[in-house]
Amino acid sequence: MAFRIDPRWPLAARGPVQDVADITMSASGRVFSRLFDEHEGRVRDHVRASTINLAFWLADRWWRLRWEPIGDPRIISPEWRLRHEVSSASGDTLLPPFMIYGTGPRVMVAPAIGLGAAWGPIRYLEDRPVTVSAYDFEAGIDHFFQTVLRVCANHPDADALDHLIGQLGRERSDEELAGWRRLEACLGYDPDQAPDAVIEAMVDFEGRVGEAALDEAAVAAPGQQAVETLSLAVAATDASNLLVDFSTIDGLIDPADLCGRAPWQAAEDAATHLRAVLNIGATVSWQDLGDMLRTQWSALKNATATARGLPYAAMAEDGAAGKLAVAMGPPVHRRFELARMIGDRIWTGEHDSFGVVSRARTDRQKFQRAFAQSLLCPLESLREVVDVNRPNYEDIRRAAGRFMIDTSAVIAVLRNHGYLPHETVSDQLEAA
Amino acid sequence: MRKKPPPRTSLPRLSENEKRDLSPEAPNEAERNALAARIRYEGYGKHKRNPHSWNLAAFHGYAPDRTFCEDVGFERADEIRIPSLLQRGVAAGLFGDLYRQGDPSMLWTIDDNGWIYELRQTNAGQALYHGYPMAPTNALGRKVIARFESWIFSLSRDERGPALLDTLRNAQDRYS
Repeated sequence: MAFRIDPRWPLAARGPVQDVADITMSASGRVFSRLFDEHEGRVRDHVRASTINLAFWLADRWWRLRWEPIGDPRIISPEWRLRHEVSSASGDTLLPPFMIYGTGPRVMVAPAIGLGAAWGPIRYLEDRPVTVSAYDFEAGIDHFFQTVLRVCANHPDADALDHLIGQLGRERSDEELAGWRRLEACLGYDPDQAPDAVIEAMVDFEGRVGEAALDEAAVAAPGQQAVETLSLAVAATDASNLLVDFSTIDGLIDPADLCGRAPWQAAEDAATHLRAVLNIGATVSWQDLGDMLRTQWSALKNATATARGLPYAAMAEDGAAGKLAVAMGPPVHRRFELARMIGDRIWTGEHDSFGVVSRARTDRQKFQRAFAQSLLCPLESLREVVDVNRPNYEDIRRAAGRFMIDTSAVIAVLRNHGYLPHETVSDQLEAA
Repeated sequence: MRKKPPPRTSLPRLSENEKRDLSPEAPNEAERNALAARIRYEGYGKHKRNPHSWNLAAFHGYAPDRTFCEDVGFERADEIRIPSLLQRGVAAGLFGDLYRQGDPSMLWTIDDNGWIYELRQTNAGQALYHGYPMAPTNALGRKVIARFESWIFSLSRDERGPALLDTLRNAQDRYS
């Protein structure tokens, strides 16, 4: 299993009632419970903590851990942190200051944001984000639950834990119940805390937009605003006169080939392949975009931004045909948005009837962003403008002008390839 | 299609395994006054490096990696300040969201140097609590500080005093 929470009860921990254990937590081989114990004067891979307490925390928050991504890393709320940071499980136990959140097909394990200087007799040593497949995450958690229930069967809270895990298991095993809980989590609600009216109104859209897009829309505009936002986005696609045809790009890339890698890597490969097949030159012109979408380039450039002001742009699809509700006006941003929409079509294949283009941190949105970056600003061509071993802002601005892309996108391409450092945690999480 | 699951039901848990959170709303004045009149503190050896020097029994059992009072500079001589710290936490409305026998099962308070102490009921119904420092990485710290700040700014200028503001600032510096 790539995600493991392994408790061990040493001799001193054993007795008629067991709970506190040496717990080793790892993801993709990275031991995020590895710490330096100042009092013992040594490094160890485990934290001593209550297994029952940790199991309750994981089970109580399972749906949000699995499905709710991080929002804007610059403005994370304590409410979100309480549901995603392992260290919040206990007030007195020094659990690892790591956050866990879902990005769709994967789950991220990353150092909590905004930590101050290291404090205390316990210093955690792992400091980089790591991802695991959602399957491995779920399997790892399940294995931990089973172990705790078996070993701690005599604990006073064993029945309560078993009861909770049982309910969770029944929800997970029923597709329709799981869909409701997943939507709650995507909207940022704990189980049973979302107003029924919100969930039901969102579900009413599912026939129109599809299951996957509904979850993406929920994540992009969570909470009470979700229904109105989606309603406006759907209306924006209805009102749009920007008609496209995806048949040029359909079938060129199998979405199944995009899994198992960081989204930016999959996106770059997809963009490279698309450019090769369609024989696109160093720069992507408006004509090129028009050809990809089988519409007049002037229509792409001049279309009314019917999604302006909304938290996300949208595209409605009917077979190969699409109606795009763009949000961006300035040409540089419009091009990027259109490229993201092409990326979304590639991500979903031809299986979705609706697409959302947002700031969310799901793998689907990350793929879109990275695809647009690589399509419009391929590294091979970028290297002709920017000395990658000595990048400077003047060259980056020149590159942005040449490729008709924002400087931030140029910087993202350079960061993804290690030519610029990831300055912030937000940068690291986007690349992971 | 999605279907609403049956509402979650829960069996009683020990207080240390319940969800930790502040009460959704700050308690009213009557509630605070009622608890302030009764609240008492009793030390617990689990969060002392040397329980015997505090006249406390040593913790029995396999101990977790936990916070210790001495590690945040709270020594035996500081015990005399505990009643006033309890009163501060109650006055600021730093109540937990779960109650047992009429009292919040959890409380918080903030020391002058900015360390947040989390307090748990030792015995339900007796307003008897024990406490421990909360690690700066704990996300609940930010919620506690926010309510503490609201309380401070609800006070008159005379009541506010520089010491309380220093306490607030120290906490804001310490907790991420």
